[in-house]
Amino acid sequence: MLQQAFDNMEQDCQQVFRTTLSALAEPLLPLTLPCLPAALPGLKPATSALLYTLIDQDVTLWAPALPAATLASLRFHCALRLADTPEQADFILLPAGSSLPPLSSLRAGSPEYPDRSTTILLEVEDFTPQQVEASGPGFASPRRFGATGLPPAFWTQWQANHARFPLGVDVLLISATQLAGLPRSTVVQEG
Amino acid sequence: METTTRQHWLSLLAHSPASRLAELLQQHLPPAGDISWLRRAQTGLVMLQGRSGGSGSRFNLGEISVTRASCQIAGWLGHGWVRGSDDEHAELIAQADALLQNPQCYPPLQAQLLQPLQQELAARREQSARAAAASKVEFFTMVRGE
Amino acid sequence: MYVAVKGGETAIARSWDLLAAARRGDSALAELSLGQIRQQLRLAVARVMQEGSLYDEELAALALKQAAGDTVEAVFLLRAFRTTLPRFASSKPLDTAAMRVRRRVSGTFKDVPGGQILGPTADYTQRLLDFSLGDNSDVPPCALADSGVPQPLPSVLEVLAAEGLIEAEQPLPGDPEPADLTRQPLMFPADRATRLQNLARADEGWLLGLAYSTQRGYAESHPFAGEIRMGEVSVSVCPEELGFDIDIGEITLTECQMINQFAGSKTAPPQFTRGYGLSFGEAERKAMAMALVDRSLRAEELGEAAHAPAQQQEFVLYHSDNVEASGFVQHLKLPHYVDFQAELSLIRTLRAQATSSAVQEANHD
Repeated sequence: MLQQAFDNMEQDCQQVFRTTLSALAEPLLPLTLPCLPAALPGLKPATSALLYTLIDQDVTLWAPALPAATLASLRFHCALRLADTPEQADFILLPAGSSLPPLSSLRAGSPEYPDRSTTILLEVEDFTPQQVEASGPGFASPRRFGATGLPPAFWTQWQANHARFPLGVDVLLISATQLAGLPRSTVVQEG
Repeated sequence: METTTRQHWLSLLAHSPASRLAELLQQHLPPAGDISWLRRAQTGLVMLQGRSGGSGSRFNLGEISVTRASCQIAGWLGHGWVRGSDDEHAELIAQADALLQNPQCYPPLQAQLLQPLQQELAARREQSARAAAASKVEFFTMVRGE
Repeated sequence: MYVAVKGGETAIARSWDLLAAARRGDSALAELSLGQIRQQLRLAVARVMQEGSLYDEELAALALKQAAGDTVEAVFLLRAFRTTLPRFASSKPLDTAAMRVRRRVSGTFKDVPGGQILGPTADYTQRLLDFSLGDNSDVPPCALADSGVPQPLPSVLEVLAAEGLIEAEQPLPGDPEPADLTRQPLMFPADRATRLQNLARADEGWLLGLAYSTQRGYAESHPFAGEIRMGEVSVSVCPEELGFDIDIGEITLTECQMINQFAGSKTAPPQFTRGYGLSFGEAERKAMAMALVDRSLRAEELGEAAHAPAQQQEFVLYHSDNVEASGFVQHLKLPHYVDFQAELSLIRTLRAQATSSAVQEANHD
């Protein structure tokens, strides 16, 4: 059954997009989304908001199996196109509990076009300030950050991803109502 | 209901002036509270494709603005697509499409909405085609000498 | 070296006010409505839609009003606006054979199936200024024939095609999705689909000049207007949620099929070849120019010598877009203070050197 998206698709998407830009400009600072649609089956409300905002017919998404109703609604509202493999996708959606594909196998852009890379939408349980110390562009000073429900060895993989800068993937960490950006430029120290 | 029937009414509704559609549909519409909007009117683009030489390979000619809307009435899901940026037109088509799929609503709508719109469209087209035909060149041969 | 310069905000705000006042003109006169522009300046509206590459009469009329009638500026406004809209789909290929024709003429045959239908054309006017339009214009009622133009109206080129005298125009195997210049940058060599998209949105003046050059000898071109037709064509799309094609309305198009002599090559017998033009609205000059340039750009494909400007893809396609062209030409107005200081001191140095060596030479003598 098709589901209703935002109340006002155009304006709500613009607000969520603006928040996403802010989240990437100040990495790992959790921001609350200004508007939330009803959650798509199998996904958090904030993830649903980001999908409605970021997906259109010009990009491809890879995700582990999603409920048919979710796929139908995304096709209806965003003209969703699925990629066959994670390596081909513009966006990768990892609902809570999914396993993380090796970041090094994903599209990292090229020196001429570093933007032609994959962005991962990664669901977590919640944000906690206790796992890592992060710094880099967008940080006035180092900041502590953490998220419960991250895939195992996520931060180790992240360090390898950062080492490829200016190439690499970017990640949006998503809780039920919040979003934290993790661009490839961010330096992370565990502990 | 056959797809061709639905194709036909969606095309007819999109080819009819929004004001006329509003006028004829008004009395058939349920109270606003009984309409659930899956998608309020939204304007975007459709890339128009042509064919080289009219019948050859496809090429992109340019875009057209299009407005679409979708709603549900009494369990029937209606979709409206119309060229241009008239929100009301798209939403009227979506509502008419939902109602027309309902076998109870179809007969009165067929008589009071589709039939008059069809006649008016045919009349507009005939008028235009006859006016154009009036400018057809009638050649006649000049006979010289005897 | 870059030097940051601030200031001018107030002056800019004042210039906006002056522009708005100049656009409005004498407020004692009634303001133009968009409906008036759409109805009474329909060809200007069509041109903005063609080169703005967006078919929407209301937006094009607004752009013309805002740009005070400057077509190229209006095209820019429309192009900028379209970037704010999501793309829902691609249409089914437009079926111009099913056009509800209001005008159809052929320069190749007197008797064509369905006849020569003149429609609303300025071709047979004397081009004398009609001073009665200065006040108001009562238009006489249009005559109606007993029956309408047949629909579909058979194409003139079918006569030649039936005898095999003209190249066949069929989709490539698999009917591939065409390249899209709004998504991928222009690359060379550009295939015909890319060229046609570029020409369809090209500046009419540019195309007209190039087309004229092919007739004046800057290409081996011997064209005939096989058929020009104008009228309404339905637009079909297949929405994801429906899963079948529906018509979403109709648009006015002008189509031109040019026929060109072709002496034949190693692989093709002597036959007529085609050039194709398709334009939004009533736009015969544009469609004809497009068809001529489409044909001249096919020179290489047809094994002809390609030495004329209108036969050279890069030259034609890179300079056809008036938004790009206008931006690059007009950016010279922007501050180039530092660049120019560098050039100025270079010229001064060179002059000083030239003067001193002249003095030395004089002393030597």
